[in-house]
Amino acid sequence: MRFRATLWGILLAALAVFALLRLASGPALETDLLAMLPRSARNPMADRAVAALTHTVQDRVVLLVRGQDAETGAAAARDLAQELQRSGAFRSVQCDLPPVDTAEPVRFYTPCRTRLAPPDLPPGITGRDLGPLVQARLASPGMGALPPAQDPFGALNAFLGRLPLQSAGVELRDGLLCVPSPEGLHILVSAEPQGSPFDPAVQDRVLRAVESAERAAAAKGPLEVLRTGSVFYAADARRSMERDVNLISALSVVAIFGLTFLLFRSPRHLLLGLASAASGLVVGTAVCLALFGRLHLLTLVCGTTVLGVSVDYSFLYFAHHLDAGPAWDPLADLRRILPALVLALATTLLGYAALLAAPFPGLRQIAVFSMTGLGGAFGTVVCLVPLGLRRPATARPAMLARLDRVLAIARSMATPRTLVAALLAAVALLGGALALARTDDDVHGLIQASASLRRDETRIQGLLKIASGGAFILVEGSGEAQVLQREEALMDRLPVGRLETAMALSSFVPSPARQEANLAANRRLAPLLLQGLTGAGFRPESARRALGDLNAPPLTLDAFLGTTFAIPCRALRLAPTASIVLPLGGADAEDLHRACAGLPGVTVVDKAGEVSEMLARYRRLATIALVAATLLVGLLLSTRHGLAWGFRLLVPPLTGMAAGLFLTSALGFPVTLFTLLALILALGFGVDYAIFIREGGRRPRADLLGVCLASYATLVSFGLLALSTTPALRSFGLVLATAVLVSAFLSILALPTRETP
Amino acid sequence: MKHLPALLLPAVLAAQSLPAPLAAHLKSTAVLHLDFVQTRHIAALSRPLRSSGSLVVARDRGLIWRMAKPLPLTIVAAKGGVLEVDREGRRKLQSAKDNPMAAQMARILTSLLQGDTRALEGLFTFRSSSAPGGRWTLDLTPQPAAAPFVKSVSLRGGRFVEQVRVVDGAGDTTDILFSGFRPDAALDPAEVRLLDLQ
Repeated sequence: MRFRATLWGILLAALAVFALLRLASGPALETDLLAMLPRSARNPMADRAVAALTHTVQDRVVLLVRGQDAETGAAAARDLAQELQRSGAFRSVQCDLPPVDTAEPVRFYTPCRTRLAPPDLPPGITGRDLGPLVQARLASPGMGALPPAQDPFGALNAFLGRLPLQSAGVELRDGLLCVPSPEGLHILVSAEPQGSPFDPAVQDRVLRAVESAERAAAAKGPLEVLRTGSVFYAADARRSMERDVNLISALSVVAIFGLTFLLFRSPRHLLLGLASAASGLVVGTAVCLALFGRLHLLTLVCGTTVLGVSVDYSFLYFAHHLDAGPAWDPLADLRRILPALVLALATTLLGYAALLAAPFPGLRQIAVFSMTGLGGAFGTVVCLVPLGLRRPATARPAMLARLDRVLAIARSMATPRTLVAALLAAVALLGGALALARTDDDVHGLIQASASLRRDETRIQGLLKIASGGAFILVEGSGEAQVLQREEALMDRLPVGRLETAMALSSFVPSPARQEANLAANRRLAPLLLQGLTGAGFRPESARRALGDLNAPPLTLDAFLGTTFAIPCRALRLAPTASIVLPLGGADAEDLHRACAGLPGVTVVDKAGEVSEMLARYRRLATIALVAATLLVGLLLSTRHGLAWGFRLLVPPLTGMAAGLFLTSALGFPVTLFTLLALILALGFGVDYAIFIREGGRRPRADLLGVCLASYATLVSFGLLALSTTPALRSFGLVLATAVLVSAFLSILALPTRETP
Repeated sequence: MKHLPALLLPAVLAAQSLPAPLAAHLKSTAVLHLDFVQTRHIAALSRPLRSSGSLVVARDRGLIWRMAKPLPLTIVAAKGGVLEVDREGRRKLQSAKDNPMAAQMARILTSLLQGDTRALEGLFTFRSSSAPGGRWTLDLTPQPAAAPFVKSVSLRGGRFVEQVRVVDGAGDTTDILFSGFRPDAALDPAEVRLLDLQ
């Protein structure tokens, strides 16, 4: 015994030291919620595209400033930008744009206009009729960038007019990007944070800078500032998760150990209980840090719930200690309950093992943390706690008498009728649950941003007319030419559904094939055009010039991307073999899929949609896993207690699971993968109580007390999850708490009847 | 020093207003029919280009440019975009989706017709001067953003705009003379259809 204890003690100490060293050595906590989710191993280029767009678009902080009128708004926006720049939290801040060279596109495209578009002529026109037509065009008011004299056939004007040079809704006024709206003029200020948006230090700096800049600007007059950017969401998520961890763990500890102290009336039990829970946390943390490098904050949130379960083992032991009175023998009594403890641990681990199989890095981490944590708590109870509990407990006759009364009531209720009633209740609850349940696998259920952040985002999206959801199109090919050609095949199809326009490189640089076709058309029509121009009154030299360069060199993507007006498009080019086409306007993923259907090399990248799909797929798999786990647990119990008892022991957890599912569906929470995982865990925990009662044998009173304490602790810790800010976790906690409550109550069915030994 | 532009802003904005008689006319006249004669001096052409026709200015809807000589051609500029109708009646519509730039110009034109000069604010500075008898001249000088495309625009008139002279970025000149003003003659159904870009 002593040897085992020393060995275990050394192991714990080693793990604790390792964990402390690791925590001290650098950032060990991961706060990015999306790091929990699986990577799309399907297409690495798609991941690159998402990363590129995230960096250029989403990581930026975007603020829309509105003052009482245009001037005060502009002044406030400039003040704000200055304050942000001064704060040092940003790598760059944009408010006033450098003067735009509006003639640059004209200068760039004029030399190669014969490659951009064929001349726009009525079909079948002759040279003689073309003259007056050109004259009419020359005389009409020009609505394009070039006067009719410089572009008599309108081809270049048409091409320039179609270029998506300016986002819809955004205007350039006085050097500022503005968005007019019925409420007033919003002025755009954007900034790039210095560092990763998921770095807590960066988040703090950015938030402080934005808040103080807003305050300073608002001191001069009423102001409305809308904000968006992944920094705000990340900070929000981190704050709510930290609040969850602090609140839940603090309340858990108080509730559980408060009761321990009240009940056992001695600090010894409290300390030993804390020791077993703490060792569970130490083992869990150390193993996770060793295996994963970083511990996700979500693991800690879920891990604090393991506190409530890990004390189960010590509670059973303490209950026996209390019950045994003077006949206490630490080792003998440990050996007596050891089968119960081992079986309970095995069934709980079986439940968590289902999480291990999930492809989610986050869920695997939670499973490893919980399993090793429980193992650690178990180890401490088995190796160390007996050493601390050598003396018998002080006699508590009053409490024991009360327990006897409860036990008598429980025994009277443990009739076959109760069993049948429980079964019927389980079936009814399950039926009700299935009727009320609805599934919703949208990944956005995992992320609950604050209301003000969501309001701002909706308004900003409405004003800037950008599509929500972040889905876009990836075009791949063997080289630049094929990529542009495939883009053109897609763009030619638009509009499709609500997808009206998109920003694509091929709009700015036609594919080589199309350039050649345009040039050929210009060459072929040259004699006709020349006739028309001279007929309209062009001097021969001017007429030849107006035709454009019939030997214009090809227009390349590199040449285009080197211009200033191409800067917003640079992000679209991922690689020589891949480019991004960005949908503009309010199209959703379905419209994109329809537009891309059947086009080779053109795919829709919809990270959020993919993850939601994956969540749905794993929800279905988890349902199968749940059934399998139930059968396995039943098998395990049957090999030990026989088929009849094996079934009887399953009734409490199954009824509990049905109750949990019913309640969460009735309250309107959707059934997600997390609901299924909660049900799997409920099986693992719920069956523990039945096992404790069944395996008790000679000390049913102690087992009953143990079950009460253990279920209370589990109930408290999972019930507290209902306080979480994440809806998925709230539902998770609710299912488990309900299931545990019902299973604990129904575990009386496991009471050995008078006949069984 | 850096606050100077901000202080000047209100002053500049006050100057960005149309001459009083013109503003009054725009406010009071919903529909105006008139004739025009246009002369264009284009360097590339060996002779000046003369055209003539009629105009319909509908304050709240847009503009119809109906050229008769040298060739029948109708161009309609309204809030939704630009419509071109050739002598055979073939229609070509350029909406905001097909040609955002043209549509934006049409939008600016239609708001100008309502006396709203805000859209021109970043593009031109206005300077108006008045002469006896309610006559005025209005000169528009381009800002750097518009300078490559337009060198100057000057308007002259009394109750109505009578003369426009535009010098474009290439140095070519356009002179338009307006006459035959028929205020408040109602729009006929064909004109209504055109202004709806149909």
